[in-house]
Amino acid sequence: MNEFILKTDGLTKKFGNFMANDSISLNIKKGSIYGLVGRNGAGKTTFMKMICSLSSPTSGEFELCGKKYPHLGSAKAKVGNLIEAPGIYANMSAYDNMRAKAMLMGKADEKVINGILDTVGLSKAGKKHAGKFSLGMKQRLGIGLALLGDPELLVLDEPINGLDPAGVAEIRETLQRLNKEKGITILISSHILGELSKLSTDYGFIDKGSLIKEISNEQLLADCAEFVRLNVNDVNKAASIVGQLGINGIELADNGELRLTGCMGRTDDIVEALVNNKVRVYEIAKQGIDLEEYYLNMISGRKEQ
Amino acid sequence: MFGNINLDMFVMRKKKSAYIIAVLMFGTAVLFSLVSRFAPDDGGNVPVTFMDIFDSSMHLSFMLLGIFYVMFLGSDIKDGYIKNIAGSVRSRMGYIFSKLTAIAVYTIIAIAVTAVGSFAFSALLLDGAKGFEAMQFCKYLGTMFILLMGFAALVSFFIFFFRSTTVSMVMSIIISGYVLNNLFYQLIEMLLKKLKIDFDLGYISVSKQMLALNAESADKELFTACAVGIGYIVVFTFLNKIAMSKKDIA
Repeated sequence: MNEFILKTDGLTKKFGNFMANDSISLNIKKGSIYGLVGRNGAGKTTFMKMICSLSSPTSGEFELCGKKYPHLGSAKAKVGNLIEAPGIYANMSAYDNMRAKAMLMGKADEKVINGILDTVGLSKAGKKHAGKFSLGMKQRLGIGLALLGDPELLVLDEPINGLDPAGVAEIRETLQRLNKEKGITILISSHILGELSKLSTDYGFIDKGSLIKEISNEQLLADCAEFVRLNVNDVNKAASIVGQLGINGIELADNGELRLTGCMGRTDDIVEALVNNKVRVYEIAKQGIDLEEYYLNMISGRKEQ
Repeated sequence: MFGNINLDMFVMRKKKSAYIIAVLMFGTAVLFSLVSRFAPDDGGNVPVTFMDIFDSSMHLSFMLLGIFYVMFLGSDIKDGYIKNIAGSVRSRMGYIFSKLTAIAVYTIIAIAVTAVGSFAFSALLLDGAKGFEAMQFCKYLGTMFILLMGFAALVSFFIFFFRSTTVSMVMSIIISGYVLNNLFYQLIEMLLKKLKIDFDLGYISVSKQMLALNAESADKELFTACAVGIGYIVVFTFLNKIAMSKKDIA
């Protein structure tokens, strides 16, 4: 069985002389939430459009749900998308917008439509025209439309753009639920990297049309977690005990905490040794840079090269 | 394909403009009947029949239909709903066919509404059923339908090629509006004369054929109009296929 829902190989898109996507090769595992990170104009939307059959590649190939481009056939229906602004008929209610697409897919079942509206929190939208919806409601309707037809892959381009914090949290919870309960794989892009880091299991970093790095969330956490912060009753004794464990990077911070480096996988050993030697541990935590800093460091590194 | 047609018929039913245009077309028939009934008789007037009322109404309604075609065909692009459709359908050709099928259904309904309005009010106000020849009327309706479908294929090409309802609306009104149409073709004919090209543009113009068509058109004229309509359907459906398959969805 294929482990990946999407595999791209040298996927390239040119607009005249402008290279929007330059030979992108990435793999998205089934059941993962893949965060696509990149600044404005990096080529995220162009990439997503090609995957969703809204745009054709200039060169390269990809395999989607086991079918190779351009012979995607039934695989097209297994992809739900929300690219840029949600495409909705402004003069129709949320239900009618959903019904229209359900008709297209030959699955205009009232229960299914109401179920999805409930999932995205629009079951009480009634007959109100979608054109009069708030931005958050429109985004949720866009996600609802993408969910019709039981997609295996959801492609969401900036789905939390313009939402208030409550709206952002709602969308995040909805996506996590869909991923966990229905096993839907999600490819998502967002400028709000903090939010993306709460969702994604894997990341792809795009800059100037090229994929510069692919990394799992575990790897990212390891790369980002730079030191262990230790708050104890006796810092000198603790420093000595930690030193005996072979950890050399020990530093006393201004606030009286110990900062330990080079011991990312050993927090359990540290706690055990301290407790056995009767040192009270008030707090121990991994501290590091966040996704945004990680991304900016990577980009600035590329600029310097 | 059937799913696509279902979607388009559903969207059409939900469009207010579909009802407004149909009511306006009915209204033109009523208006022409009233004007004919109450026009001052200077003694030389020829009696006005149902066919005359229907003719006049359809010539005026040509522009109304053009406006509706743009509004309907362009709605997916304008609202962005095309992003939900184009990625899901197996072939974009199916998208074009379903749009034209829905337009064909609407055109038949709109012609029927105008015919009913013309018949009812000309009968009520003008003794209009006189001079009605069923066979001739059927030929005339069939030709008109083919010409309108040719026009719809042309309008859909504007929509799919320019991806702008504003540009398409202007083009549609120029082609279907009687005065603007004459002005437009006079300009083109002047240009052709300057280029020393001897060609009657009206011969292959769907709008000229439509505006020249009437209930008394001879079989030869009806045949020519049919050929022009079918030509437009074939050529512009083919061009639509190219425009849709090559272009990215915005």
